[in-house]
Amino acid sequence: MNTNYKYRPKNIEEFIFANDKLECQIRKYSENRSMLPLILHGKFGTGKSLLAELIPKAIDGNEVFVNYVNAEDLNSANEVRTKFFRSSQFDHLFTPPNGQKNNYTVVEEVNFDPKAKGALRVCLDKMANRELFIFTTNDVHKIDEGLLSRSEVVEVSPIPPDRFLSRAQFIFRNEGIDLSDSEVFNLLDAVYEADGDNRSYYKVLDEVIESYLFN
Amino acid sequence: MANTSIKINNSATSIIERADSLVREREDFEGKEYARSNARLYSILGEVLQMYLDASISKTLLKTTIEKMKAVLKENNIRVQTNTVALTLFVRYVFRTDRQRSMNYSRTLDAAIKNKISPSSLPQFIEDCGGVESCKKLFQKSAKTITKEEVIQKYLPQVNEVLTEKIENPLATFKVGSEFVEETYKSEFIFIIAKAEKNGNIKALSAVPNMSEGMNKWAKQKLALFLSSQQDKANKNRKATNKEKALAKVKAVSKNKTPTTVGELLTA
Repeated sequence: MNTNYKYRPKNIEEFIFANDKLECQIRKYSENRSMLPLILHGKFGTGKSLLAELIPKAIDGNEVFVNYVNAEDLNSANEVRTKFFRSSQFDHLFTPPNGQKNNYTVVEEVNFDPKAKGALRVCLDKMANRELFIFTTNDVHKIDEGLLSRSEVVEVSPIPPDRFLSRAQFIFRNEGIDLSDSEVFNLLDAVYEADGDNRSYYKVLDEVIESYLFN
Repeated sequence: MANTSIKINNSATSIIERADSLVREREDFEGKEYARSNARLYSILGEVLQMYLDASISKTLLKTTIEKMKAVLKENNIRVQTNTVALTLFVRYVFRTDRQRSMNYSRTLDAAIKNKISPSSLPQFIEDCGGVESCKKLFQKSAKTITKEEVIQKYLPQVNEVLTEKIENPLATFKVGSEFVEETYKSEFIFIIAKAEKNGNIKALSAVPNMSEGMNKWAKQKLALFLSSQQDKANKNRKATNKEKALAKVKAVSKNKTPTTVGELLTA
């Protein structure tokens, strides 16, 4: 089994933050202290989608209902209104599903300037404080300035090797491999330098485990 | 035959004389009417900027002014979008011109505001930038362009160094007819037209008998960008190699630590 799946963080406590600032910004959301739309941006494989999944779970449990919307739908004003907007009257009459504290909408891979940005801005304004919107993107420069100004923009960086070390050691030991911290750190450091992508850490762990078990 | 040739020559001379006369007229126009009209345009833009700054003293004043301006523009069938920035609205109100031109003026004024240029200094600011269009371009560079320019600046000294070194140790030396280089041999460099093959073989076909500073600059910039990308590739390869080495080392260590004998297994 791939370590990326087997040891995937199941909750926000297991998530490894690349730095303290990121942890602080994410805790504000996972502890339900902010309803500003959240834009998570950063390179591929830094954990943006994982955070978008774990934040609603941290607030409303593992069975939380999340409205997932395709980024391409942001090109049509009609789709935006249909998929994003609910009247305040509706929210007044009906509480969120399963007694959830919040409603959630997650839009991933917004790597372009949406055509229906006007409709999106209006929806965000009308839904303010009633729905937590989480957007993920690899290219924050392409995002509409109106959307950026309404949101908390958080950079999700790759995890530095020193922060990933304990996780890597936990995985190795769990798989029966005993290596010194310096040996593992040197490997993680080389991976960080070459790829700067959290998934790459897991891939090399897979290779070491595979070599240990089967070669 | 000789008469025809003389006639053609005279006609050509006459056309050139007319062209030269037009050059003088154009210079006169640029130095007087055009310069005067530009100076007036820049001064009006300065007044627009002053008016915008005056209105921006309070949010309410700016909002009310904008509402009044929008109403007048609407009466005049000039459409104003909701996302039009306030500064552009002021420009449109005064110039009543098309969207593109309003945007150009507005960006110029925006550049002036960002550079803390006072309305009275605006004409000089635009003049120093080389006109409205250049001013807009100068301050509207994309992040990509800025990065590219930084790379060029960083690698240009290296390009010059490499080229200077190559004069002593060239890739190839060959002779062409001296007429090909009579106008260029004093230039810093000249251009060669050549045909390349995929494997890197180059067949030099001809020397280009002319040269310009623009071509020279362009070629050096391209070399700078090439050097930078080569450097990036080399760094990437080095990091990939380091990663492979580190991985191989950890794999070997993990195997060595694998308990294989009964004693080792029992103590593990």
